[in-house]
Amino acid sequence: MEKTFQVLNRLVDEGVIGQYAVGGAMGAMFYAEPVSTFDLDIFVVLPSLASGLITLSPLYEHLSSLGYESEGECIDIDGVPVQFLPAYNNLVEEALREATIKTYKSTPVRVMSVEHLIAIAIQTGRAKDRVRVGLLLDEAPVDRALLDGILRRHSLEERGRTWMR
Amino acid sequence: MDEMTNEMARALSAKHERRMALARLPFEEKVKILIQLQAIAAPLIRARGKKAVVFPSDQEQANT
Repeated sequence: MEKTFQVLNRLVDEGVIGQYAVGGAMGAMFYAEPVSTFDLDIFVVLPSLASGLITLSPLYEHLSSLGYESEGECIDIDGVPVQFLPAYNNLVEEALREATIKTYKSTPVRVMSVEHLIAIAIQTGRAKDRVRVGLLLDEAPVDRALLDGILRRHSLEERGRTWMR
Repeated sequence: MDEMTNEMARALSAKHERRMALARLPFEEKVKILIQLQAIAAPLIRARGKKAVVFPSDQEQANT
């Protein structure tokens, strides 16, 4: 895992991606008990092309030049299937901006805050997201005022109330 | 409504404590547990025709 995080940091240093943050199940694992997952979700800010388009192609090409090939929706980075997800809405953009730096051994890793992970799970709305919300609320140190603010800003209060009952 | 027996309440409380202890582990330790969970689940997932790759350990990554 450490080598994979080092590759992600290098992508930022080399300007291939603007910024990244770990999200999804692996992001949640920084705060709660480990739960089985088979990929690493990486949310990214991508530099826009001259045409204004935002595309994963330059990132995929760069990784391919380093010997990392795509397999389905993921790219195998030193044995870890990594799924890159461009920031697709305001909530994810905010989560990327406000991600916190944690460390894995001696390697810095940008991870979404637990409050943003909960908000994104509520917004995504699948059954497994509901389980993740319950897990994080139960086990992680959640700042409820911060979470309420995020849910309010992104019009998720109603679903949040239902899911967090 | 039926009441929970003391024994059941103790079992649930112990279970909760165990989960909280897991949540407090350093991330590196959680990754080791995750790899064990993947190794258990992967054959079942593959038997359903889906892909499941067990993450390499840091030692295995370093050797590649």
